[in-house]
Amino acid sequence: MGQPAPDHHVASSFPGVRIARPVGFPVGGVWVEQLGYLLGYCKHEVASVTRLPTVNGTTAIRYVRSPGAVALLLCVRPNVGTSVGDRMTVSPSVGGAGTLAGTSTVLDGTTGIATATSTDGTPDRYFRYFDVSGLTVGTGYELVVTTASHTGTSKGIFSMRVEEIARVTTDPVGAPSTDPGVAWVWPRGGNYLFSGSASAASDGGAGFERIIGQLDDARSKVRRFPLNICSMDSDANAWSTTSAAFANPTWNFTGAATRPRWYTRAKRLYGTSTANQLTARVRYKSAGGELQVRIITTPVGGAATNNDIVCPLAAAHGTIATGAVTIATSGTNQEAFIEIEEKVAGGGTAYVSAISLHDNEV
Amino acid sequence: MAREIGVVSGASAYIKHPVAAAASSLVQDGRPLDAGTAHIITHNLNVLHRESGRHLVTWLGPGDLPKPTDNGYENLNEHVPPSDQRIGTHMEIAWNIYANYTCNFDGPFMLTRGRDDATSTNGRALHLPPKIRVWVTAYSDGVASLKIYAAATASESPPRNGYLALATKTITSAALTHETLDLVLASAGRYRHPSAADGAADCEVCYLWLGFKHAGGATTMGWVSASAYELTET
Repeated sequence: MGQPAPDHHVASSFPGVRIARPVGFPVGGVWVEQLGYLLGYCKHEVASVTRLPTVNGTTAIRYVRSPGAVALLLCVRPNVGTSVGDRMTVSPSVGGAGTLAGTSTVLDGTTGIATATSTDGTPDRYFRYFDVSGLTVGTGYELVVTTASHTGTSKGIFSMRVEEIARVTTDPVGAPSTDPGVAWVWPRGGNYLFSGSASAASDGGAGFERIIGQLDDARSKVRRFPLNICSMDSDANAWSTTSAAFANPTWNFTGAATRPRWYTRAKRLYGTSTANQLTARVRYKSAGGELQVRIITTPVGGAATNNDIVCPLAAAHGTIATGAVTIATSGTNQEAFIEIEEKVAGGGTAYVSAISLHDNEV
Repeated sequence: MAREIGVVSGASAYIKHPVAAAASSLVQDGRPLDAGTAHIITHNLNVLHRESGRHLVTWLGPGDLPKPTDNGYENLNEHVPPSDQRIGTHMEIAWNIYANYTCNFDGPFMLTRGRDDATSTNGRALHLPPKIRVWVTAYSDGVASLKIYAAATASESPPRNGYLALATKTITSAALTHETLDLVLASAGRYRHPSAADGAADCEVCYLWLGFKHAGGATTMGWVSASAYELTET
């Protein structure tokens, strides 16, 4: 969720920061504001998925918690029809190995979302908020969503959007181990480095230590999702391949022109020669042989990089494989595009129901 | 960027600072803070801010777009407004999401207001609503045109009823074409005003839309993917 970024000091003038002069309190104040923005309020979109197959079933979105995030928003829009709408229950299941822990984490209402019958041109939207304060920062979790029709018309979901929700206030003094940011008093006047209370020693130490620690958190633990796409966990609706060599898989489109390409702006922290570091996760089923998913990242105007994710034999949908991916930051305007190819050994058919990428700077 | 120090390998780089335990800290209690360390922290914060633009959308399209009757207005039990009753060409499509696919949308997206304006005053930059870059991978039938709209609205009401920003491109190639459309928002969105506590929680709400006008008679034109993300540059 957004907030206006606080004012910056301009490096060419750096008011209050002159060589051989003490550093004034207002400089530290700007640091506090900027850290609060980067860690407390600049929460990233996790996923915006639209046009899922018009069936009911199970699908999943990848989520990795960032520091201080306590709630996760799930916004679901059921599909609408031209004549008869669907009424269904959407069940965000948050249990199971590697998934969000426990169904009791829904903050409002019940877990299941009972939708009304939709007949309008714009689909109704339904929200659920999850308490994610207990999840480990940096660990990948699956937000599993299951839909069941009440009417038998099986129109499924039009869109799902997942977003971390910012808190109105953060309390780095009272809850330093869970709340991000820095207290105003720490870079206080008098030009001294001031240590906070001993209890504030978490995550980079107290006082000025904490400023540096929180700065590092803002660099490496606040993650974007340049890709987070999903279909359904079923043979009929997942993306499939039978190719023994890397090739574009069969997406669930109509028509013949079927090679999707997604663009993003690479995160450039260390100059144009150092790539954006990410983690890929593939949700799949491959009962006949080992599947490999190739995530091709190409900076605009540059050369492609192949990132191959090995997906061992798995008889059931919902199996997870992960791997490292890089996106070169040398593209025009730092932009790059992502394409997917797959191959499967053993002559079987492999199915992929979701692919995601998230920042993993170290 | 002027707010960062040094240029490394063609672009300003984050400078990693050691994080030490308090007892052996490089930045100890009671010692004056030197200007060099202050410069590094300010610089690093500005690098992170520059890179904090958010990725908003990765959409998979439907493929072929069936040509809708009356550009989708039939499903609203209406007709395309006559040209002298439109306030813009975007009203030529209905922007409804019935099965004929004249549009795609999602939201609300809470946008940051972190884009610097081109000038700064008193050593401080101003902040504008973000620029949103939209990429669409689409195709026509090689004969007629497929007109692509990208729009940002302040509510779920479709762009035919008003928008914050609008961009359009037209393609005629039967090959997959990758088009970019930039949405530059005016500061007309809704805001959540600052709370009573330290952290102001302003944000700007928008909904993102893609619209398609199918000019051909065949059904072999459509879109397969789309992306959108914030740009923090001016």
